[in-house]
Amino acid sequence: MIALIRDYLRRSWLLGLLASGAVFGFLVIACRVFLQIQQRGGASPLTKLIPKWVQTAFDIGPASMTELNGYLAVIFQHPFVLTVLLALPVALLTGFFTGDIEKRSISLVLARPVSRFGVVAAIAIVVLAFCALGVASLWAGCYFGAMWSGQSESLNAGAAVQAALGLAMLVFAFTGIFAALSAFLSVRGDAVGWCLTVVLTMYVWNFLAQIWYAGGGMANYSLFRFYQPTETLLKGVAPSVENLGVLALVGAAGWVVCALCYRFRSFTV
Amino acid sequence: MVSVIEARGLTKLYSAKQGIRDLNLQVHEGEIFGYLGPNGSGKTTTIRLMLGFIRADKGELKLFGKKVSAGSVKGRSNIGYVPGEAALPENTTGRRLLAFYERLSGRKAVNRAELCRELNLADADLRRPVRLLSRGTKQKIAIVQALQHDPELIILDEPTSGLDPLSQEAFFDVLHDLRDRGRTVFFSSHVLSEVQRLCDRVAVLREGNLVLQSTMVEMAARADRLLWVKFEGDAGSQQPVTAKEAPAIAGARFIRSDSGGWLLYLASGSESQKLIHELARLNPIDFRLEPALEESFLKLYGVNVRSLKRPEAAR
Repeated sequence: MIALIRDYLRRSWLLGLLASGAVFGFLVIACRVFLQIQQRGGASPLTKLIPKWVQTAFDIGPASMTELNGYLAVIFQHPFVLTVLLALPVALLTGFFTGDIEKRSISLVLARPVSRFGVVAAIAIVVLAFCALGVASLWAGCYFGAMWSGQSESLNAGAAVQAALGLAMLVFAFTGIFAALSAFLSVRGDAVGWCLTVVLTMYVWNFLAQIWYAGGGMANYSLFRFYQPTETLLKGVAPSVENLGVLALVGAAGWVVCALCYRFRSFTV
Repeated sequence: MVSVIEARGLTKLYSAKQGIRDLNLQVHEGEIFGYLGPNGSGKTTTIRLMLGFIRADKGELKLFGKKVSAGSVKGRSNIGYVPGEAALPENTTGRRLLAFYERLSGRKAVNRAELCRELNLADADLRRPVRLLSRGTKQKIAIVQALQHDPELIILDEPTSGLDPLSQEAFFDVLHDLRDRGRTVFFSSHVLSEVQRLCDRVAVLREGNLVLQSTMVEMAARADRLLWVKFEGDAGSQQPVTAKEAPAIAGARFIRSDSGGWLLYLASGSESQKLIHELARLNPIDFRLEPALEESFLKLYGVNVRSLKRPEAAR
């Protein structure tokens, strides 16, 4: 197990550090950008550029955008952040599970006294560790960025931690789905395609549900619905246990399905 | 005699034509067991079942007397495996890879240095990333990773692909040494000549069915034979003789005349005594008799040997 973890770490450390570094850097730059905007007359000109319906959808008003926490609420759900933090587990999980089956290199591992559950556990430890590092980098980026911009007093660090926790649970929920798909499929391209389809469908689903009130209920079928950093950063409301519970349940269920699928599937390698 | 591998009524079907059916097999301790068959005959399926990669539809398979089930890890530290297409991770060095597989095996790589020396696997090659190595060198690393921890059972799936003749020779020497030390080798191949040279016993698969299981000696005794006879007179004329023009000789099939002699093909079970009498009347001065193993195997594979041209066999 230790040997497997070390091997998976060796294969993924560069990607994991790059993703974490990218998120950290993005948050630092975002804080500097906010400083620049303020120095040029505040954030309200920026919010004027955002259509009203988008402001409504994301619960962002001109007032909220004039202070750092409101600005960070947008940054915490910025497509760049979500793309990096969700692309990382897609790349790692499809590589470790499906990629090794496709390349047949898994045969040399499974021919040894290594249990299939052991393989799943090793992959889970490495992938979840890098995802946690990515989310921690997000929080560290906003903290360091706020300090560097001289706005550390404006930052609600506790709320940022809570928002980051919500994001961590969202990423965990998606890793469960990605792991189950990757353990089930045998071609990496197929696994990547299915993972991206799930993410994009849920993202668009959630977005449509917010601007189309009649269909608002369908947002419940998207995991993004259960991640609400705006509430946390703007109003100081901690992520609800219900929301975190749904994300944790989906993630845990995904990993259980992954482990069972990997344990009982055939390896024609 | 202790059976290291024992299969009873083992069946695994992917489709009506693909897979193995009702396989009964015994591989004894300390032997090199050849497992022959054309592509798609079920050799790799058998190996996947042995390693627990797939689940059998029916039947039982035991390794070291213990039942194998899909996903089980019992006795795996006693197994060394070389896959048909060695898919080694490419973004690491051979040295790191061997160390990784050593740790996974849970046993010391006591044979590594000796194997590297015998297979001429240079230290410089082991320091380079695997993706930069030639196919033959990758195959040598695949062999070393399977044998370095001195396993009791070695499962080889067409292991010589990519190896040059010198390396093949060295590899066969390694396998002979292992057998002499009581290790069991399961050698799957579609190359008859290497099985013939290496193995003590052989099983032949055809379309998922076991069509033969015997020792190589029995196999040679039961095989069809090629008989080259040289004559004193003009019976072995240099003139080309077609099969139609050739005299009918008891049970033998005329192939061609060459160097003052005839090359005849004797199907197994042909009447040898009658043949000897008939040939004696033609004043033979020399003869050579060889088992036509290749033809016998092709027959087992279901190939009509009459349809084959055989200039090499006749020389």
